[in-house]
Amino acid sequence: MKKKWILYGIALLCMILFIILPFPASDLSLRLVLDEEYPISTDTFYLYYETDGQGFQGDQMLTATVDAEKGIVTFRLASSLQGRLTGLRIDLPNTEQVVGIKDVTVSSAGVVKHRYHPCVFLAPENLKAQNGIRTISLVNARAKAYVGTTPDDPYLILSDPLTAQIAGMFSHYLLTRILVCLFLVACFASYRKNLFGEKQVNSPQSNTN
Amino acid sequence: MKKEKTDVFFLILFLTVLAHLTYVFVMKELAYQFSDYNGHVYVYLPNFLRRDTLLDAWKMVPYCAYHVVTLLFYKLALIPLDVSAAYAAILFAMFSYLAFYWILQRFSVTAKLENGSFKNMALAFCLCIVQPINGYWMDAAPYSMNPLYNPTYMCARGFSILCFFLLCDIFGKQKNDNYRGYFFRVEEGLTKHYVLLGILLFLSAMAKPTFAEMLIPAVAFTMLAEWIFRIFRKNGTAKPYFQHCLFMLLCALPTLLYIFLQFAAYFLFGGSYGDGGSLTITKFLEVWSVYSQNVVLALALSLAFPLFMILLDPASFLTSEAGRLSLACLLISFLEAAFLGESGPKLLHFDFIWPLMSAMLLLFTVSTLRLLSLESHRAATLSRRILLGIAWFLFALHALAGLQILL
Repeated sequence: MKKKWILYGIALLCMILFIILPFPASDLSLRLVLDEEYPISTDTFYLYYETDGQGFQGDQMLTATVDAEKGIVTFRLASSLQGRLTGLRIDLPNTEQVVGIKDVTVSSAGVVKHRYHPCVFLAPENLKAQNGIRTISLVNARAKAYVGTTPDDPYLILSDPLTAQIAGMFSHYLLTRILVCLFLVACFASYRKNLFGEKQVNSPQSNTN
Repeated sequence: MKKEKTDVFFLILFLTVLAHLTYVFVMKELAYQFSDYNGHVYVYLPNFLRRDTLLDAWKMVPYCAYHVVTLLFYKLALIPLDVSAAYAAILFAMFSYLAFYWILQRFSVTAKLENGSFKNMALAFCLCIVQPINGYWMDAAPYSMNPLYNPTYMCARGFSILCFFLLCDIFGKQKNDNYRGYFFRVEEGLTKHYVLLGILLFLSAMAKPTFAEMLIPAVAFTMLAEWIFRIFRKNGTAKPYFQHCLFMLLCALPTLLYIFLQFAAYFLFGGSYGDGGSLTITKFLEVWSVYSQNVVLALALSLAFPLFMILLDPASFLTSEAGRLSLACLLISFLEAAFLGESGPKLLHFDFIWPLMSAMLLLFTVSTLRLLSLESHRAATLSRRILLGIAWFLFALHALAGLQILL
């Protein structure tokens, strides 16, 4: 009996350590879901990122082409940027057009951490600076934002609070670790409780040593 | 109509639907330049047509069962190459369906389940098409237990199912002389079943060696653990059991030799991408994490239904031959995916995920059998029926995911 409780204690301790000990961060994905009316193309979008307040530099850049089927642009920020990200700049294609955005999501560890209403994401208070942009129309009734671009290097720099909010979404798989432990505990509890009664007589599942 | 004719009618109906879906899917895949079907049919297969490139063709793809069958349609029946490829895929899809159906039917009869043959036909159809539950907004990138896009895996699938359940019956007989078998009649001895196992395993390796790459180590691990356990028990059963281990090794020998030959073709004689490149040990999940941001989530999405069944009835997965072997297969294949790779340009092909896909399919099938068993014999209370209903719901989600790909 005592031995059993010692084993339970060790198992519980291992699970607690597994949950609370530091874990590497996951990459972070920033997705722009474009309006259906966006012309099907292989337009390239760019995301410049600033680290440690050192300004946007040419080599700190990600490119992403539009997924023509889903109309999604995805930028994947490496987990090594966690704790260092201080600025984000989204560069739109160098053409005169209207880019409709209907959703913005931030994902990490495979799940969506936050979904931004496009009218909130591109609200004036969430933009620090812009260039080459004719107009930004926020249509709340349709939950869409339309960005009119020019061929003169159009880009949007996100505000510091918004950047900090996005930068804080790198996941350390905490929920994943908790759920793994919960699953194991649930399996053990199910085993002890024997939810479906005694072993069946006529089943290969009852064929033991 | 008599019951027998009705069964045949519905069986042919399901086969027809499966054949149509497979045909449409394969023709769509062939049109896409970078699909597996396109590569196997238009890049690898033409080399089999000329004597001077036959050896090179074999070195490129030593597991050529699918290609040979396609060539039979192309050369003997003079059917266009793309249609021949589709017909070959249909043939193996039908074989897999019949294998699933036969396993379900045999289990239903021997375990005295309440479900009729129509339900088994529907379940077999679902097992042929089930896919991971997924959404495009997730970055988990779960891998499928039925990668419909890969012709060689789909070719090996039917053999893998028969191999696995034959093994379960062989294990049962090895441990209990009175065991009669649920899927194969093993009451008269195991000799012909060992031969059958050797043949099925070899054919699976001819189709795609990744199933054998997973099953052979899993069986070795399981039998070794069992043998060591019997040594410690000191009840005199260790020595006779060791003989069973040797028989199993003999069954696996032709397949092992062929796999080693395939490896040699790949890594020593030129192989698929020219020489250079070898088997390598990677960091834990090094390759997998390139494609998936959350491997645990990926596994949960691929195995939602089996994981729920393990949660409902963990004892059966730990004590039954099928449950234990499927978990051993899953463990071994997970370790292969996590730690093995091919050096050079093929590292990111992630070719060591294929064994895990096979293991997932086996676990899926075992879970389905367990669900049928519980439903027939243990669904006496409302709470149990609710839990089983949730299990069926998860199963249906996987089947729905499959239909979404095919339709």
